[in-house]
Amino acid sequence: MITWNIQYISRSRLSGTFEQLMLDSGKGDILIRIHTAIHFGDEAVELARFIKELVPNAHIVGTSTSGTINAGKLSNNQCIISVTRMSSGSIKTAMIPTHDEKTGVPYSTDLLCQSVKEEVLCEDTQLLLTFVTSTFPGILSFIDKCNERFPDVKMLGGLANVPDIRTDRSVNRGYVFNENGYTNKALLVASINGESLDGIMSYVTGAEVVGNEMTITDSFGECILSVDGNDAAVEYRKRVGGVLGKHADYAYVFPYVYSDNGDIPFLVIYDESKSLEDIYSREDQKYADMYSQHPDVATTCKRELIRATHEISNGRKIKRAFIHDRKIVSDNQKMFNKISSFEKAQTLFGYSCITRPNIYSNCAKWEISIYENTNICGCLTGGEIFHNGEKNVFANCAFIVAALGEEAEAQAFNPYVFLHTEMLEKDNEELLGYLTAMEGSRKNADETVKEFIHECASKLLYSNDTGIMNVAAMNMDIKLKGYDRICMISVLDIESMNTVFSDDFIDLTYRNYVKKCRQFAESKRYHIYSEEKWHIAIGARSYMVDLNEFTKDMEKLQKELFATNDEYIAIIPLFCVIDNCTVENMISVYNNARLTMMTKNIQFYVCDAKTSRPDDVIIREKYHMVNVINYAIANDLIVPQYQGIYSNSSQHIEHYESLMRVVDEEGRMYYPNAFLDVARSFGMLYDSMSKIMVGKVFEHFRDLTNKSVSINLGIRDIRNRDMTEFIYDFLGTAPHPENFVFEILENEDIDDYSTIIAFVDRIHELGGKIALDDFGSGFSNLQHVMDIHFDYLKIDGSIVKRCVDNKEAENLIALISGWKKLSEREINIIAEFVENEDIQDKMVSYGIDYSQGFLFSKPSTFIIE
Amino acid sequence: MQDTNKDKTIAVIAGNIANEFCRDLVESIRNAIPPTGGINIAVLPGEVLIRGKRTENNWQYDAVFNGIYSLGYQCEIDGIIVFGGSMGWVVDEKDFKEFLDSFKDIPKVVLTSSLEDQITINYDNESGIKEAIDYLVNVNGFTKICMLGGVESNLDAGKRKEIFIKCLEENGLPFREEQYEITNMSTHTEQQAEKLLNNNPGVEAIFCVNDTAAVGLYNVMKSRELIPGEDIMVFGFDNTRMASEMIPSLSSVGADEITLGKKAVQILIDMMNGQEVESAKVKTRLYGRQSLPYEMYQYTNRELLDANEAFIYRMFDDCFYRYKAASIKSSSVNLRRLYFEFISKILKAYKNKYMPYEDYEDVERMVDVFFANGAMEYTDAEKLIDCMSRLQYAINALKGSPAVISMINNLFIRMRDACIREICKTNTAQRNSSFSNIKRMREHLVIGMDYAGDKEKVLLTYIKNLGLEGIENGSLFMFDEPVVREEYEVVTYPDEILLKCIIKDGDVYLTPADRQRKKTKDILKQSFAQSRLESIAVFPVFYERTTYGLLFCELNDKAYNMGGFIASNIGINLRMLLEA
Repeated sequence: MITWNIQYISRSRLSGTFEQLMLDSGKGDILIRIHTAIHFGDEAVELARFIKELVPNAHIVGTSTSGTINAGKLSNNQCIISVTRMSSGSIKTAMIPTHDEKTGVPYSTDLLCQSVKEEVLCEDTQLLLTFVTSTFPGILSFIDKCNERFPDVKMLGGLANVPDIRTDRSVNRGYVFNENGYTNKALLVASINGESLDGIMSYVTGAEVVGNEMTITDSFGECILSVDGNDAAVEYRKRVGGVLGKHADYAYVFPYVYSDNGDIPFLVIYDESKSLEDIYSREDQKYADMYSQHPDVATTCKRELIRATHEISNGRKIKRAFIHDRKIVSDNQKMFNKISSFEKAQTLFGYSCITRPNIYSNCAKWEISIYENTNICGCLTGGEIFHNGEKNVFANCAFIVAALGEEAEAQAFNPYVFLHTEMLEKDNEELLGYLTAMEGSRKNADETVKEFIHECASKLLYSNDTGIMNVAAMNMDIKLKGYDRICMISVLDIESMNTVFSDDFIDLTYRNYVKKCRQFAESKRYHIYSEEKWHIAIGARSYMVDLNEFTKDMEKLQKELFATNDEYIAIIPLFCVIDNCTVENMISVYNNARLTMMTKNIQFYVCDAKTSRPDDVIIREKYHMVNVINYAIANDLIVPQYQGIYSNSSQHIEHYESLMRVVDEEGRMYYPNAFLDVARSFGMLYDSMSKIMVGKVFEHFRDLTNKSVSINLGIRDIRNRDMTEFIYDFLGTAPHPENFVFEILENEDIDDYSTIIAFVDRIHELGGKIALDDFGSGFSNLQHVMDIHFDYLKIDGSIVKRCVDNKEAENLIALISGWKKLSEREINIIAEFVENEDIQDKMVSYGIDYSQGFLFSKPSTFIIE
Repeated sequence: MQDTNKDKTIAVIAGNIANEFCRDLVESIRNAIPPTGGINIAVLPGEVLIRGKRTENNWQYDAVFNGIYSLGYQCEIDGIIVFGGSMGWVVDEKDFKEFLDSFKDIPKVVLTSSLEDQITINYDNESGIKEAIDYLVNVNGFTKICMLGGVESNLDAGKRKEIFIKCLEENGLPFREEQYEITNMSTHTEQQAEKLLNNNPGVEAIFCVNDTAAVGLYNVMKSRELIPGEDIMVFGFDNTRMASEMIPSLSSVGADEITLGKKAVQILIDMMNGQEVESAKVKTRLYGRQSLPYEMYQYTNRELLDANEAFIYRMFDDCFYRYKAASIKSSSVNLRRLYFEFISKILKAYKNKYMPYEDYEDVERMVDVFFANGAMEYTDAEKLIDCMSRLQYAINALKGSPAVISMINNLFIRMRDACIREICKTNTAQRNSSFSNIKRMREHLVIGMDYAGDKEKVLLTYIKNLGLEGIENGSLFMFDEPVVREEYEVVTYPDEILLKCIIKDGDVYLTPADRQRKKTKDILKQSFAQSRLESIAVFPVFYERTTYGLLFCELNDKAYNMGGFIASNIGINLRMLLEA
C-alpha cells in the first residue's frame, strides 16, 4: 500500500502528477479520496470525472468540507486528493441514497445497512469509510444498526460540510460526490479490504465531564426540550452564561456527553429566535409523527432551543462537559502513543470536527501538527463516525486518526509539539477567566460584567490569527529540517504603547508589523514563526544560507520596521540572531542574549548558541570556591593579613591595611580575586566572611595604641544593618577609635548616597576614619569625592605603577596632589603599588602622604614594623 | 568577544610556500585550527637551500631570505612547527639540530624529519605505496614498474625507495637499478625522466617520489606522445592540490584519515598544555585519478539508491575529500548537510516514484546554492563528474517512473552546468587578478618616484600607496637602519622595529610617528590582536644583503603565490627610491 497526497492546483498539474505516479491498472486497487473546500457540487463532479479519465480503475469518494487536513496542516481553501494504491487488498465503493427519491422519506436504517453490506462489505473488510449528509436524520440508529449487523467492521468518516462560519449552515449544505454526481441525500461508503491489511484507530475529544447524570425527558427531532423534566435550553443558558444570544458558537466549549455511551460528546446549538415550526415545517409529511407525539408543546412561538446535529431520543443519559486544555493534551498524547507505535503505518487518515478549530483557537492546528511530515490526509466534518475501541459511534468535537497498512512502514511524527502547549494553556486561561467572571455575574447582573464576559468570549473564539507557523513548527524545523539560524524579533515596551494609544491603532500597527516581517521572510524564502503577540521568529537553514548573508537580511528588515509613518505607531524592534540553535538550547541562549542586549542597550545582536553556553569549567570552579568559603567559615580559616603603609613624613610604618585571605582544607591560601566575586554573587556568604574578618581585625587592634588599621568595606556591608551596628558598637567602646579607618571601594556602583553619607557621619561621630579606595580605577566618579567626607584618598595602583614611564599617569598624580593643596579638607593621600625606588621618588616629589607597596612591606599575618 | 590576549600563537617555519607541497602542508595546519579560534598561525616562509644545485646568486638570496626564521626565536610565541625541508635537503643533521636548538624551550614539532630527539610527524609511507603497487600488479598484471626517486639524503625519498623495492619483491618482481632514477624532487625532472624511459622500454607504470617530480615526467611523455593513465600509469606522492589540477590529473598517495598538519597541530596543542606526547606517523592511501584510474570505494547500485543517511554522507566525504580536512566556519553554509539534503530528496523521489514540482524547484535551488558556495574548492572536477555519473547511471539503469527520472536527469544536468560555471569563474578571476596586480604594482612604483628627490616624502608616498601591491590585509614594518647580512652570518633583526602602516581591506592606515616603535619580540602576537586575522605570513623586505623590514600578509592564495614576490618587489623599490 502506498499513499500520495496531492493538493489540487490545476488540471494540467494534476495530469502531470498522475503521469508521474504511473497508476497502471495491473498493480492493485486504487482509492482516491477527494476533500474539497473550494468546489461547488457540479465542479467537484467534473473534477472526479477528470480524475476517473486519468485513472480509469480508481474508486473515487469525495466530500465537501470546510477545511482539509494534509501533511499535518489544516487549511480552509484547498482541495486535497489522496491516492492510495493497494498492494494486494481491494477497494469497494458505493453511493447509497438515504431518502426515497419520490417521496423524500428517509429509508429505514435496516435497509441502508443491508445495502452497505451487499454493495461494499467483504469478509476481510478492515475499514469502512463512511460519509453522510446532514439530511439523513437517523445517523445514531444507523450506526447502532451497523454495530449490530457487522460488529467487526470499523467505520471512519463523518458528516460532510462546507466552508461557512455558521456551523449549522455549514453542516446542512454539505454534499458527497463521485464521478457520477453529487448529492446531499446519500451515504458514501468505501470499504478497504485485504487479509494482510492491518489498522488502528484512536480519537481525541478533550471533553472533561462534570456534574451529575441527567436524563433527556423530552425531545423534538434534533432539539432537546427538557432534561430531568426542566426546560433544557434555559438550563443550558444559565450554565453557560448570557452571551449565547450574541455568540451561539460559544456553545462549542460546553458540549454534552452521552454518559450511557462511553462519554462520547455531542454539541448543541443554542437559538432563541426560532419556533419549532420554523425548523420543522408542519406541512412536511416526514415531521408529522413528531407533531402528533407532542400535542401539548407550543410550536409556533419563538423560544429558546438547543439543537443537536442528530436526532435525539428520549431516555438517553447525558452529562455536562467542557473542553479542557489538559485533557486535549493528554488525549492527544495517548492517541499519538498508540498511532506512532503501530508498525504498519503506511497510510494515515485524519478527520476532525468543524468545531475543533473554534473550541480553542489553536487546538486543531496544534493537534494536527503532531502529524506533520506524515502522509496524513482527511478533512473537517460536521460530526465524526469512528470506532471507539468497543463499537462504532457518532460524536461531535472529536479528532480521529487511523493508520492502515499492508506492510511495515514508519512515519515521521512530530512529538515536539507536546513540548509546546502554551498556546492552548493561554486559550484555556481565558476560558477560566470567563468562568470566574460568570460566577460573579450570577449574583450581580451588572451590564459591565456582561460586557466583560462578552469580550472574553470573543477573544476565545475569534482570536486574531496571524496565519503564521507556531513554536512547535519552529522546533520541528530546527530539529528535522536544519533551520538552525533563528532570528528572534520582538518589540520593546509594548506596555507603554498600550497606555497611550487606542487599541485599534495598536492593532493596525501590529498587523503592519507582522505583514512586513512576513513579506520579507517569504521574499527571501525564510520561514517565519509566531511565538506570541509581537514576538516573531525568522528561521534559515545553515546549509542554505551563510550567517553573514542572513544577518545582513535581518538588518535590512529591522531598518524596514523602523521606517514608519503617521499611519502607524513607531516601534523599536529588537533583533537577536542565534546561530547553531537547537530546541534545547534556544530559550536559554535567547534569554542570555536579551540580558546582554538590555545591559548594553543594543537592538541588534548576533550570538552563537554553541559558544555562548555557560562554561562548565568556570561553573565548577565557582562551586568549588563556594565549598572552600563555606569550609573556611565553619573552620575559622578566614584570616586577615596586614600590609604596612609607610608614612612619607615620619618615614615609619604606622598604619596597616587589613587584607582578607581564605585558607582551604589543605592549607592553600586564596586571595580576594579568587573568592570575592563568588562570595558577592552568593550574598550571604560575603556577609558572613566580612563579619568574621572585621571582628578579627577589631580584636587584633583594639588594644594597640600607636598603630592604626584600614578595613575594606563594600557598599553591601554599609547597607547591612547587622554589620554597621557591629561596627558602631565596637567604635563606641574601643579605647582608640581614631585608629580604625574604613575603606570604601570607589569602583563599586554607588547609587544610594544617603546610606553612605549616614554611615560616614556616624563613623566620624564615633571617632573613626574613612578612606576612599581605588581612586582612579574603572570609570571614576568625581562625585564621590565631593559627596563623601573621607579622611584618606587611595590612588589606584594601576596609575601609581605607571607613573614612571607614562607621562599621563604622572600628570594624574600631580593633579590629585594639587587638588589636595587647593582643598580645605584635611585629607591624606595614599599611593598603592609602590614597588620600587623610582616610584617612591616620584611620590615624595609630589608630596604624597603615604606609600603602600612591596617596597616597604608585604602582606603578612603578623604586624611587621 | 574572545579575549585576544589569551590567544596562542604558533609559528610555522615553512620553507618556500609557493611550492605545492609546502603550501598544502601550511593549509593543512591552518585547517587544523579549531573553528572556535584561540590559536593564531604565523607562517615564516623561507627558501629551500640546495647547495651545488643552485647558483651563488640564489644561495645568497636564500640566506638573506631565511633571516625570517629568526623571528621564530626573537618573537614571543607559544609553539612552533618546523618543516623538515625548510632548511633545504642538503643541510646536514647537525646544522638542522643547531637550528632547532635556537628555539630553546618553546614546544616544537618537526614535520617530515628523522631526528630522533625531537617530536616528529612523518608519513607512514608504506600503506599507500603498497596499495598502489599491489593494485598495479594484482589487478592490472603489470610487471614493468619504475620509480622516479629523490635525493638519498631526503629521509622520505630514501624510505619510499626502500618500500618501493620491498613491494615489488613481495609481489615477486625483481628490482634492478635501471628502474630507478634520482631527481632533485623539483619540477625539473625531465632529464631523469628521459633516462628512465630510455632505459626501460615498455614500462607500464611509474611511481614519482612526489607530485612535483611528476611534472617533468609529464612533459617528457607529452613530447613522446605518451598519455599518462593510458600508455603508462603514473602516480605521485603527497596528494597535493596540484596533482588534481594536472592534465591528466595525477593519482597520488596522500594522508588517509588525518593530514600531517592536523596531526602536528594536535600534538603541539597537547605539548603547549603540558601533556606528554610522542612522535607520530600519519597513515597514507592511494587517491585514484586519471593517471592511474583507481576506485577508492566500490559502491553497489543498491547502496547508491537506498537513500541511507550515513551512505550519502560517505559519498560526500569521498567526493569532496578536501572538505573533511578543511576548517569550516560554522557561520558559512554547511555544504555537507546541503549535499545530503538534495541527494536524499532525489533518491527519495526515485524511491517513491513521485516528485512534487515544489521539491524539484527546491532541489534546483539547493544545487545552485551548493555550487555558489564553493563546493568545487573541495573536490576535483573529474571526481565530481565521476561521482554524479555513477549515481545518475544507477538511477537510470533500474526501472522507475519515467517522469521522475527525467526530472532527476534535469537536476544532474543542472549540477554539471553549475560545476562548469564555477570552474570557469574561478579561472577567469584568477587570471584577471594576476594581470591587474602586476599593472598596479607598476603604478605603485611610478607614484613613488619623486623627481624632487625628497627621500622622506618618497618613502611616505610609497607607503601610503602600498595597497597597490595587492595586499588586502597586512602591515609593513621597517627597521631604524636596514640590516645588512655579512658573509656566513645568520641574519638577526634588531630588538626594535617601526610599524609603518596597517592595511585593512585594501586601505592603508599610516601609523603616526610617535606610535611606530615596537619591540620586535611582540610583533607576532600584536599583529594578530590588531588585525583580527587568524593566520598571517611574514616576508622579509630586502634587496641584495640589505633587509629593510618585514611584510605581514593575511595568509591567503595571494600570499602563497605572490607574497614572496611582492616583498621582493617592495625591497627593490625601496632600494631604488631611497638609495638612488
